[in-house]
Amino acid sequence: MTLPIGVLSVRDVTKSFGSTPVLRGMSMEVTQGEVVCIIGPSGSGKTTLLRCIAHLERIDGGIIEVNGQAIGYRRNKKGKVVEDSDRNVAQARRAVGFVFQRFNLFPHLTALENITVGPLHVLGVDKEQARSEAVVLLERVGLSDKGGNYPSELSGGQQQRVAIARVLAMRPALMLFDEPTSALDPEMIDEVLLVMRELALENRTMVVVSHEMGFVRGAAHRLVVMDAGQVLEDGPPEQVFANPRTERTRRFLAKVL
Amino acid sequence: MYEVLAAVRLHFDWELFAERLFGIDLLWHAIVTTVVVSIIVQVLATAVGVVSALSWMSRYRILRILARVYVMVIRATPPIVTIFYVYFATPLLFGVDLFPGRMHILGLQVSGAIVAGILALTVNDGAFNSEIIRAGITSIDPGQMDAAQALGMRQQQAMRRIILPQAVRVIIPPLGNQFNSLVKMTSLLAFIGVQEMFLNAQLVYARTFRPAEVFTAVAIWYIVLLSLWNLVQVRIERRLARGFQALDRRATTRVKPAPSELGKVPRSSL
Repeated sequence: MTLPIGVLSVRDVTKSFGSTPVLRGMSMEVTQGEVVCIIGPSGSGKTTLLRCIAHLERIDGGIIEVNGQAIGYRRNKKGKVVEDSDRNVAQARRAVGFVFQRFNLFPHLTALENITVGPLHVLGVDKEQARSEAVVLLERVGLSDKGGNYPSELSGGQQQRVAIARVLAMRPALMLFDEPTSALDPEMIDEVLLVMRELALENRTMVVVSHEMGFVRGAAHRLVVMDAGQVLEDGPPEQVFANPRTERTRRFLAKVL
Repeated sequence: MYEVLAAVRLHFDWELFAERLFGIDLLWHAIVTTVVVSIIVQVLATAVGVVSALSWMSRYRILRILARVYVMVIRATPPIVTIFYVYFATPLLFGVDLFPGRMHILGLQVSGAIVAGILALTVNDGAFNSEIIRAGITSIDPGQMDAAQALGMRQQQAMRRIILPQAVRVIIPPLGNQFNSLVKMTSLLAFIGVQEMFLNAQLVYARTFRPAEVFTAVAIWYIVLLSLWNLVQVRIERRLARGFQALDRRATTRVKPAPSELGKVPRSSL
């Protein structure tokens, strides 16, 4: 057995919006190839945690590392922790892919251009290669005939699949999914979950905030239950479902299962 | 005196009116001046507006303050004051004849008044454009910046490739209206002696004392120019709307709360 390689390390992270604490000493580790699902009640800090990992939010304390590299912060000459430069943050973010609840596709670009814009302008891949990779990715998410369509011409499920392809094109070490199916009509949820399940089978490292229990049971290696900005439970889904450590988890699970 | 007025009122000099309306050879230079000055100012003031709008939203405090002061001061100053200030006051403040009667710019010989006028109108218009552009940028869903940055784009890259192309669609219509008022505002340059359409009319009025003929004709000229511009603007807007129509339809008919928001468990129940 090989030693697991750490991809994401969140240590003792705190974050407040004004005087409202959202993350209160949040810690978790994710190793390569692991699929970790996060559930928890509204306001427990799930989305904020993902946004902090991609440094779309600043954190107040603690440290977040991806592939052993701190995201968003560095030590200055005096050893004080300061926010990193825009250039370095952008560089560090390449290791992280983010799939948003509301897709956030670029409406002025076609599906294909949404996928190539990152490789072309961030990674510096040449046009032909970016294009042919995007075509392959579109096929993978089952949308090979939609490359020329604008996001407004696609259904929610199709948009989310393009958004996943856009992330895959950047070959991130870690993929974050922020409630990827909760803005979708029910009949479109499965097509997105199917793509995600395939990714999970490919040994990709994924952190998924989702209350889709079918996906949690079928694809997650670990289930993290968050409440009030902290980890309440962390273990294999079967174990968390069968033997929740706390009464609070038990009551929450009773509501979502 | 009253007899004279009555005579003028009774007798509308159609010949003079026709000359002021169709005498292209007499008007040509003035019309070109009005149009060219308007276009140059619009281009420069759009650039000023972009810089000022981005400064307003900058990470750097000093830029934010400068942009705010600039917009606040200019918006509160009548354009004619800005024009007089640039033309008459700044040369004295700097102790240099900044705008001599004849100057050479890019190989062209122009009057200093035109240069001063272009500068003053640019300063004035830039502040208004700044607000228009800022409003356009802020109207873009913040999720777009998130997505661009999450892809690894730097801030200014995200601005250039993702935010501004979308904001343009929001910015163009009010910017077009701004151009409309700018064309009319060039008439103020008559007061510093720029030979544009209004000064051209005024000089003839001073010679003939025939305000009705002269000012009706010049008004018609402004109306013609701005109607032409209006046609152009409609076309541009129609073009920009292409590809976004489905989106607009959806935005007004399909606002649906996320199921997760509806079904979420209140914290107190835990």
